[in-house]
Amino acid sequence: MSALCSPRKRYDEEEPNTPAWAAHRKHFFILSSAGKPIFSRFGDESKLSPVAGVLQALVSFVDDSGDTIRHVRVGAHRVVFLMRGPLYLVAVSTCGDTVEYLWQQLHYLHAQIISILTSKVEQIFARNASFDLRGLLGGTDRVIRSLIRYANAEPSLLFNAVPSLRLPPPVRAELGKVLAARPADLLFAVMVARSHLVHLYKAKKSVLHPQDVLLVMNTVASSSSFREDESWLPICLPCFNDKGFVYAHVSFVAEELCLVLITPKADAFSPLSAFRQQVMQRLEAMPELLGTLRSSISEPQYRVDEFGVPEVRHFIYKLNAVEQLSAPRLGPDAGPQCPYRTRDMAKGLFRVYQHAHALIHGTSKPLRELLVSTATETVIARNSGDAELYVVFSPLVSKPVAIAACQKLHRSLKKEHASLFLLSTAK
Amino acid sequence: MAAAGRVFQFKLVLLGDSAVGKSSLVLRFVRGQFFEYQESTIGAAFLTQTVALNDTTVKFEIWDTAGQERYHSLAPMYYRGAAAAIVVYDITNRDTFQRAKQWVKELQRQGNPNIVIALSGNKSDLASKRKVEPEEAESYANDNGIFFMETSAKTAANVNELFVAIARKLPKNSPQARPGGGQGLVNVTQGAPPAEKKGCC
Repeated sequence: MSALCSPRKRYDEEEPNTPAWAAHRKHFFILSSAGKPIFSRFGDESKLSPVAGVLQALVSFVDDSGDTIRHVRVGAHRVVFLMRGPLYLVAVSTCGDTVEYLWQQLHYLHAQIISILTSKVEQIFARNASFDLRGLLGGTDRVIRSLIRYANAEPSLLFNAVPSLRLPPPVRAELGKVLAARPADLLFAVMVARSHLVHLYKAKKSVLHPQDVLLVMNTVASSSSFREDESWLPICLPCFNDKGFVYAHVSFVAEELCLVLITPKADAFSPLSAFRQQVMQRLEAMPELLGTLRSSISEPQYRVDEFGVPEVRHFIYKLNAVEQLSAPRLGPDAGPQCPYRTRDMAKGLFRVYQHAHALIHGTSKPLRELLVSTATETVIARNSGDAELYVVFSPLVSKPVAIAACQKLHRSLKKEHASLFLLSTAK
Repeated sequence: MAAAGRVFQFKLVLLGDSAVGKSSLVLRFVRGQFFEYQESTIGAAFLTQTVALNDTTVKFEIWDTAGQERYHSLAPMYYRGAAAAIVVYDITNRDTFQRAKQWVKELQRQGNPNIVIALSGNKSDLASKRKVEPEEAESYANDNGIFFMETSAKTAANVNELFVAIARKLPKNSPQARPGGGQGLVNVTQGAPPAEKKGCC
């Protein structure tokens, strides 16, 4: 869906509290529990004290009665709160996003801040409640804005799953061998192309949560400065260990192919840099593989009609064992089966997915199967435990036809597991 | 690339407040490029570039560090063992000059004792908005035994000159000078220790 993202605008230069500012359909605010603005998606946060004051008052008012505010509905507005220690995160949306998904986005924003500062940020506030965090976060607006944009267009955060690049299995296996020649002290290696996972290495007994992978992917995608040679940065992986930093060596090893090497050692730059050199040499020695890889990367998403089920407009498929997802492309070149050609149509479709997801996961025990029909779509969501499959049809499709098509698609997808997903990490 | 002569490798680190133009200086020197809206560096970027002097070639291993406060505690990792440092400030912003002085102090106290420090007053193309006079920076540099140049990554003024001046000042017989055989460079010092060579500045 990334092809549908608009070019970046300089929203941070916008004047807040004006009609144009208020007209934005989705605001995100981060403030300290003392009511100091830390981040605003639109406008200069330092001019947002009045808004921060109102939000803080709402929080305190409910807090005084021994309760916690979760969300407020005002007309079409959803105001969603997430309190994480000294940080208050607030989303104000008229987009039609589900409250559950707005929470999830706030949760990820918080995790991204932890990835920059670690959870020690809480101790800072414990010492000084009126601390101004903006100094410490300097230069990271871009990372946070990039995450918001990504969450608007891509289903990864909704599903807590990493989008994987569809690749011929032999190519993936060959890349695994390249990563397997790793140096000591390597904790994780993540190979990414255009925000799609290509390959992964995990040290023994280390667990890499999809949330951490998505945060790393967002960090890398947020700045063009990573395209220069090699970068070395401290990063916290909140699910891995929210109390400390690990170190990431970031570089591009081929066109659009980014390699992130993660180590616990602050002084391990040289061996990782040498390993990166070795990876590049091995890739260059395999021109055929590099060619296949290049063409897969140039079109990271396939067309829905490849699976031979003409009733299906679009789908999202998550394989739970590997916590990865796969979905066909949207937009003008998505093929005749997929009518979601514009950015707004794609956004509308994404909301349909959000609602189906909220219904499936809304009960203490997730539902197994769901069929929802609206004026514009019929959606079948199946949750088999091993996988989640959400399939979108025309609103006029009959139930038996839709169910049969869904089963047929699921069978086709199962046959493609090895190309759609990274099933085993590099050893 | 070096036509002949010995090749030395030196670690060089850039320090300074955020948005003074550290990355812009490096990109101008390494790639000859300049971007009006250079994105802020996250962590540190590592680049290499060689400078050919008369009879030697100096290969710089450049650490372009991020200027933000939260990365300050990591700075020793980059300047430890560095043979040279460029401390950058923005001539249109006095605070960045104060910050540069603190960096110089820190380097002199905690960096390697023979480190070559260059003070760079960047954005000299914005002379109309100047807040720091070159005389002031010059006299500060003289008092502290470092050398000073005003540069402009935008117009390329003094950028190569700055790196070449550092290359000349670097002692080619010090322990920091590693006879290096980088890619594409001829290593003619194999086995033999680098010959005694006076710095020619």
